Amino acid sequence: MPPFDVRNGSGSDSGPEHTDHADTQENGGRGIIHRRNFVKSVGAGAALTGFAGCIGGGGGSDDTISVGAIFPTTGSIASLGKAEFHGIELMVNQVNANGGINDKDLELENKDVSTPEEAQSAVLDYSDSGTDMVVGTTASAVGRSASRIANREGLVYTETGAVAQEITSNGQKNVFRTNPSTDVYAKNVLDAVQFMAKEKLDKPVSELTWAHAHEDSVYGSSVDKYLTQRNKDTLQMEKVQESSYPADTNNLTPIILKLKEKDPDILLQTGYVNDTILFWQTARQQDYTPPFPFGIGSGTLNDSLKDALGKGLRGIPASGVNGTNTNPNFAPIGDFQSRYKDEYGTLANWGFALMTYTGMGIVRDILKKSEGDTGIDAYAEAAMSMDEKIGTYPAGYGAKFNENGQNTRALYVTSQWQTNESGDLETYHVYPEAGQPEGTGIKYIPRPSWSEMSN
Amino acid sequence: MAESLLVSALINGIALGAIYALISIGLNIVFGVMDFVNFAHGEYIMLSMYGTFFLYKSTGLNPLILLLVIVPLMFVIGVLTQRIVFQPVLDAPGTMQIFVSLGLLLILQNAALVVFGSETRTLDLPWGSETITLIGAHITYARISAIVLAVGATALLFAFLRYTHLGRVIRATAQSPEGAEIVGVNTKYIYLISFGLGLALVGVASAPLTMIYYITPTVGVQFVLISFVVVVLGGLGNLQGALYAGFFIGILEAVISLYIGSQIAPAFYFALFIAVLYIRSQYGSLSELVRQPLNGGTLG
Repeated sequence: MPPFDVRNGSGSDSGPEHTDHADTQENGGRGIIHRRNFVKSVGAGAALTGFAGCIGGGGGSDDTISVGAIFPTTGSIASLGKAEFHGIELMVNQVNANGGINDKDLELENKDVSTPEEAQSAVLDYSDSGTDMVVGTTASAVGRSASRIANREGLVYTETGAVAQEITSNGQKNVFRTNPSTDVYAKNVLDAVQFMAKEKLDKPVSELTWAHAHEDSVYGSSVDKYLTQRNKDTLQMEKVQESSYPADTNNLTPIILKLKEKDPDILLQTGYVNDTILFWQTARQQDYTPPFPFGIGSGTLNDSLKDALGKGLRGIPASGVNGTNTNPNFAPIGDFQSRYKDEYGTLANWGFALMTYTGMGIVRDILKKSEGDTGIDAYAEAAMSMDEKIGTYPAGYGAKFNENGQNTRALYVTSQWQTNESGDLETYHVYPEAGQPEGTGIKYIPRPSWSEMSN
Repeated sequence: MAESLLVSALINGIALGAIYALISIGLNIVFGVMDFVNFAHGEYIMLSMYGTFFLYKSTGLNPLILLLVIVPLMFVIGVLTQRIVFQPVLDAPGTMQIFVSLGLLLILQNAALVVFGSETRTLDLPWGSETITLIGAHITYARISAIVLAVGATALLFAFLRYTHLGRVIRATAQSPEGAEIVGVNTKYIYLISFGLGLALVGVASAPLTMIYYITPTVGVQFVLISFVVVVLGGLGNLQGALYAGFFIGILEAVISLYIGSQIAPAFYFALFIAVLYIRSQYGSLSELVRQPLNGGTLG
């Protein structure tokens, strides 16, 4: 067969220059200007190729406290980013409606940030425009980058969403995190596994085997590290497989095949939304049903996964923040949902907005203590004096910061996908036990086959 | 590792390769005829997936039947894109054409974000996720349809180019646009048809893609990068080559992911991409490289 021959083509394509260097050295004068321009250029390039835009804005006045947010509103995790920004915005509106902080309104702006490079550029812009403080974000790599640049620029940075341990492990005086970190994930996951396995599986927990499949960024890797360490220190289950993959992968069949071969009792999966959809879809296509599947984080708690798997999703528990079907005595959500619906037209699902709403509530209380002072020393002193017990804030959090700026009274909970009386899929709180609504409990463990669960 | 595991990985690798091939052949025909790399190709994948998704939601028809609507629609979109966006820069320097296609990429992606929203969409289509067992391997009907569509579309396209008058004119234009114009061919018209064909092939890929994957405004990017590798490996403008290269990359990715790790698979095929580009720059083509030692030449 003669080939369909065409003209030769050639050309060189030098892609956008990429850097992930985080210079923590203090430079003066010109050095900073050059470095900033460089980082901004890279950020602009990243924005072009990452298809996200940053719109510059200007800091606050004497009558306001300006809060610069960095949540992704475009790109693959935009749905999470938007929900998390809405949580922040809702609390800011509430604070302003109640007279602000020391008669100063909070002035909120968001920059659409999806990558570490864009985070650097955005925080530098906020610094240049005199913004008082920065809050973020959705992805751990972005939070890590933003916190470092904020530290260099002398800005208070509060993490309200990202989980990687590294964000609050450097003793940076300006960095605080209101949400839980990876080690809290590990604790909640393994405590929930122990609780649920004791109730539903026949073997003693120490005789169970487990595997962990996770996306390979700092988020998934960090979760794996802390899960592995905590398991070693506590449950001592045998880990039979660890599989990591890029979050934008097209093909998870080889990973599912390997997991199927290893046949662990417990399969943990950590991912973002899209890779988690592909993961469970591939497991279903390969007819692989682990006895005890368990999702970690945002990937397993969202509407898109529900649409993708339908009733087949029943029985999969997930660790994260959850605002639905939780005992109100456990998490005092109050009028959060009605406020959210009034503002955005829908209920806030899956707890992401609740998590940042809670985080901004903690920031509000710190600012009250510092009398609106966002200087690092005053803010840090106020933050370190916080001592609110668990259950104070809407997501069930308390507030007590350790020397690294981590809120030690933030917690994750485990929910499980189940059907309600009308047959609709919802998540139900299952662990800690105190959060279970009356008349509910753990179901579908050991998990029946995909075909049984789908019908 | 069990033999059945390898068989499963290979069969699913072939299905994955079929999808890569379908996407790449569309890209390749545009490059082959017009000598132009369309960086926005992935965004048309995204648009055709959204089209299939919404048509399915409104009609409930199997995405394979919806191809009867999507393929002609993508052809028309291709013709319009060529006429409105690319024809005006046809004679401009290559860099300008690249910037135009990158600009189009951003416009389409952000327009999709505004129109469709950022949330991930999927089809929970029972037929698409049903499997058959083949030599011990589970493979879904959706993946089988990708293989059938890739082979079928390539055969049809080849027959069209080889045995029809219009096909011969397209080939003549690809080989020498100046020569074709001298003998009276309206090359601008041929470019319109070729671009339309390229996007119609993207439309063909949309049915299995929508059944297998999720849809977001950025989904095209993950496929288009691999399709560049497939096009280069199969031979720029070589349609059969793109089909074989698609299968090869799919199998390579599946086997490497199984035995070494998912993260390293892209490194392998991008290394291959660079190697092929290097060989082409040195020897013109892979066949030239093979012939040279036989003719007394050396690889060095």
